Amino acid sequence: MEGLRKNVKRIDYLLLFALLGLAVFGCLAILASTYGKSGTNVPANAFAKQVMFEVLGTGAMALTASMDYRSLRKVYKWMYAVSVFLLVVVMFMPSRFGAHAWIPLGPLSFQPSELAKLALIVAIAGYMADVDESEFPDYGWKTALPVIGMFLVPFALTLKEPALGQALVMFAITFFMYMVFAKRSYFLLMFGLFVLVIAGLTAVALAYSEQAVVVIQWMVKHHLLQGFQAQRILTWLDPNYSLTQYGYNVHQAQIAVGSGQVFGEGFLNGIETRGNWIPNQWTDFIFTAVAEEFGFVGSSLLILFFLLLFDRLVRIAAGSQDTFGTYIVVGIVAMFAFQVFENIGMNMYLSPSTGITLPFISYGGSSLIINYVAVGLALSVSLRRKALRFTG
Amino acid sequence: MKWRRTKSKQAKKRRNTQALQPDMPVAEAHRRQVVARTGVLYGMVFCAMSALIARLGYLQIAKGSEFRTIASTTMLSRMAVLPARGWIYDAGGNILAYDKPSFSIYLTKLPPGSGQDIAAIARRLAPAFHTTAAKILEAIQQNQDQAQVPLFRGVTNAQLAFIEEHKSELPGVNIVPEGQRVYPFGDLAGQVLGYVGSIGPQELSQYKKWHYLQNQIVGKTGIEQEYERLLQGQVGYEVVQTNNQFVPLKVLGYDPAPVPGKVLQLTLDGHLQAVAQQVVMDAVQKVNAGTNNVYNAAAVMLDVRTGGVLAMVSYPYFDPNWMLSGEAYTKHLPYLSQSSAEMNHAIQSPLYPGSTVKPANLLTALKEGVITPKTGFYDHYITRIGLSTVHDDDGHGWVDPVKAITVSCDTFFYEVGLWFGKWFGSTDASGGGPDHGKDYQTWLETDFARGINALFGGEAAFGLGQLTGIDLPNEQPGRFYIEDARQGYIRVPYDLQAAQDAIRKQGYYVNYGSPADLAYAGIGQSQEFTPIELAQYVATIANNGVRLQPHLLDKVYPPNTRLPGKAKPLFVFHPQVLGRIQAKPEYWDIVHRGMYGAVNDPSGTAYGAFIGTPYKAAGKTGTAQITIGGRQVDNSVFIGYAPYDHPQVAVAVMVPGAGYGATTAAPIARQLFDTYFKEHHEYFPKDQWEDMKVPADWSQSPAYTVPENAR
Repeated sequence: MEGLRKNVKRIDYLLLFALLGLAVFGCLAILASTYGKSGTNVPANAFAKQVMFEVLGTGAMALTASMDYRSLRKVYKWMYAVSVFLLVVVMFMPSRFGAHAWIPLGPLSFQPSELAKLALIVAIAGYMADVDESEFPDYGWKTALPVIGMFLVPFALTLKEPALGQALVMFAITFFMYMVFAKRSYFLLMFGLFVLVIAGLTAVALAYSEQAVVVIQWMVKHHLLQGFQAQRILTWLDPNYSLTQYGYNVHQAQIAVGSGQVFGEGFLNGIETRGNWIPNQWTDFIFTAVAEEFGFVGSSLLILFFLLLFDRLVRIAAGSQDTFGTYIVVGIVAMFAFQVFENIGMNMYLSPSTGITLPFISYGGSSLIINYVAVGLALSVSLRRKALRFTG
Repeated sequence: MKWRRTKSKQAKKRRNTQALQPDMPVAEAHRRQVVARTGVLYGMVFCAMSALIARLGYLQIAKGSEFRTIASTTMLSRMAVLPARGWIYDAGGNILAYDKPSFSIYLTKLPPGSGQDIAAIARRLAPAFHTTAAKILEAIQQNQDQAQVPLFRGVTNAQLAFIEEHKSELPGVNIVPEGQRVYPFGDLAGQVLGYVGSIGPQELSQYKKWHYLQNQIVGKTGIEQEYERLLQGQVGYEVVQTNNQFVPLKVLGYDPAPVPGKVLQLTLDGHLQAVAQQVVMDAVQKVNAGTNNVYNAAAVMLDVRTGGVLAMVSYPYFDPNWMLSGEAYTKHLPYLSQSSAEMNHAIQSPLYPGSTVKPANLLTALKEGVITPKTGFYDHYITRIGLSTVHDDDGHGWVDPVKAITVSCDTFFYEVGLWFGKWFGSTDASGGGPDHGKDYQTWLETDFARGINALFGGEAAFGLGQLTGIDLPNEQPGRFYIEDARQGYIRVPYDLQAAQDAIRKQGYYVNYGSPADLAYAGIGQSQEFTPIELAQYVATIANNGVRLQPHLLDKVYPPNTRLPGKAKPLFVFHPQVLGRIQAKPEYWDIVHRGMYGAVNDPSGTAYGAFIGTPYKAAGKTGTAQITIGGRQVDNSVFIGYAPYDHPQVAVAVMVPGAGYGATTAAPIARQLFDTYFKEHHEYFPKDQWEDMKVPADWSQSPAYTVPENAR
């Protein structure tokens, strides 16, 4: 029956519908968050550029989908190597917004960590598929070590930029990919650990924020955390911490989100959004534009579009003809889901602010194209599966 | 490659573990496990997304209105909006002053750290406003204690567009609608209306007490100043949503809304005023064509029944619009600085009234028993007073009280004055002397003081030498004088109140006057009165002693009232009786008949000026000797009322330097009477009737254009 459905629907239209919904939200949110604003850091013609990148991204997605993802198994190490090289190159690039994270390319700029995330997914997937297809697959700690090694290099380089958010995404990718791959006892251990960490963070945020502040200050003192990273965590722990400085963004963001109420303040009519009260709203804090102007109805619709996307991706992962495809798509889901949760959550004091973009919504050409390429990879997995059934 | 090798080395161990499911290949078993775990992953993602939506629901639905309030209030700024000033109408419904909508540019000083660079803003603004950055900065400096600094008023559309376009470079610069005062008839009653302007440093403390904002525009002179609190209205606040650079984004409304000022209607008759200004100017031009002695002139017409001012002329004329812009002010500065155009001579320039005081003195003399209605003697032309000599301007033959007024006999009033002081026997042959041969100094401190007190006091009862209480700021009272014998007979002010108190308490008043003071006081050469005092005085005569406060305000209407209309006034001015002079009707009759004769008897001094009037007026001329610019000239004065039998209007005209009262002042008064009755459709045939409209082309008329170019 599943095969019948796949035969009728060669392409996953629901997934495309989810992407279309996200693209529309993204373009509107960028228009809203840059509308009537001027300043050196406000991108000019952001809306038009975003529409252009949506089109380019769709093209890149189609191109990627038409390509056989299995060919990546031959080149994933090269991909990985190039991405690591670029992460090294970016260290020597001029600092922007306090981070060496962008390689300028004329009027545009490219963020190597975006590519590195995808390269990491493909590389880990390739390695894990290699293990699966080995004569005597080993799912113990010895196969975990190379995965950890593959993760650590780009993670450390990205952390050095500094781009804590991107680095955490890499951790999430690795964690969830390995969780799917690992043997049962490891899986249970990791799942338990995950639940424990979430519970622990929640408990700290809710009940022990004062003690946590002490711990974080100790960590800053011993250079385990950079100052501004600590400030972000402190801000998350204590919503009233440093409202005019470090806590300002998140504080304003939450006001914007909350003031959207049920139906929002109306497109291009958000008090905080139009007033430019949220710095860099078109990138990290883009969700506030959606939440303020479209309210609970609009912003939960946006989350539901994401959920639909993840649902389709997980189905693709489950239906993949080989575990390589499954691992890739799992990695993509982990990447997107972590970013979505982290990004939207930080606007609402649900997670610490880490400087992470909202996939498909935030302004930025290179990350949008990488996101489309990632979906394209998943589509490639889904299409290849059909091809297998037809030929088989 | 390396990884695979590593693994194959451990292959055996692995195989044992995986072989627990013997009926399924290891790879397939693992694939199923992986697929199953994608389900777990989806479950985790689902939980995460649900958590987001749950949190959204809490923030947006449960706490939404709280956050909305925070968002709305923290980004709001309140901009003071000045109220529109009330309009001023004349009695006939002509608009004398209104507020034209206009725009002003304000700078709101932003808190430190907002990135506001005032110097940069000044540099940006300067070219568009034809000024320099330094001047703008200076204006900002001067208003250092204000949060909102007015930069420019009455800006052009192009300048507004400039501000709008460069909004983002001009943080804190706002466009605020404000009224621009306009006096549509220019110099028509210019000094009466006054003008508006910024609060000056001296006024600041007073206005602060009234909770004014420093940038409010207030009345500086005239009616605008007198009724400032009525005209001003109440400041409102516009609530503006701003961005974090305090650039206004959206006007949300008023809280509270500004309340425009109340609308005033004056008793002033604009048409009559226009005619009066024309007539006064013509008269001045006529005199100056010959002698060029006249620098100023004044005329006042009062409604006898109410005290309402129907016309108040002060030449040279003044257009309050000149004070409203720097450009206009600069243009007219030569005229303003070289003339007394800003003064309201009608209330601020006391001068010798000459013979116009005779009716008052006559009445007082009759009341005090100094003379009787039957007193009469042959005009001896020359009168010796002690060692000095005064003379009449003519020999008038046999004079009695009525004739003394009609022909303006000086000798009669020299004698009356002397008799007030019990100085008897002055004739053309004898200098006379104190009653009962009193010692001179004793006489001076008793009989003289009592006499001159009675004489001046009688005048003061008519409001002469007193503030009339007219509703205009800066009224100057007239003065009484005596000549100080110790100081070579120079004129010194005579403190009437102190003298009266001294006589009452101790029976004498030490002074160094001389009997000549009595004679001079009798003919109006020892006191200075303003035209408004004279007008109030003659109106009091017309009212048989009921003295009313002259006033300009007639009605106060609610804000935004447009006249004529059905709006009910909030306030109507009721005549204020300031005093009543009690005298026998017979005495009033003598005064009236004397004044009637002055106008209607061929021997009357003003007869020539009033030939052929369809109504009967009564009046008195005055020709006082004054000095203007070192030259001995005559102050041409006339007071009068009409109609004689049931007076409606009273007039006082004073043209210093214009010769006899009959020559210049009386003809002006006649034209005012004529115009009044033509307007009120009385006495004159229908074809001569006039309406109360101010000529629309007033500011093109000679009365507007000539005075400024006259000298």
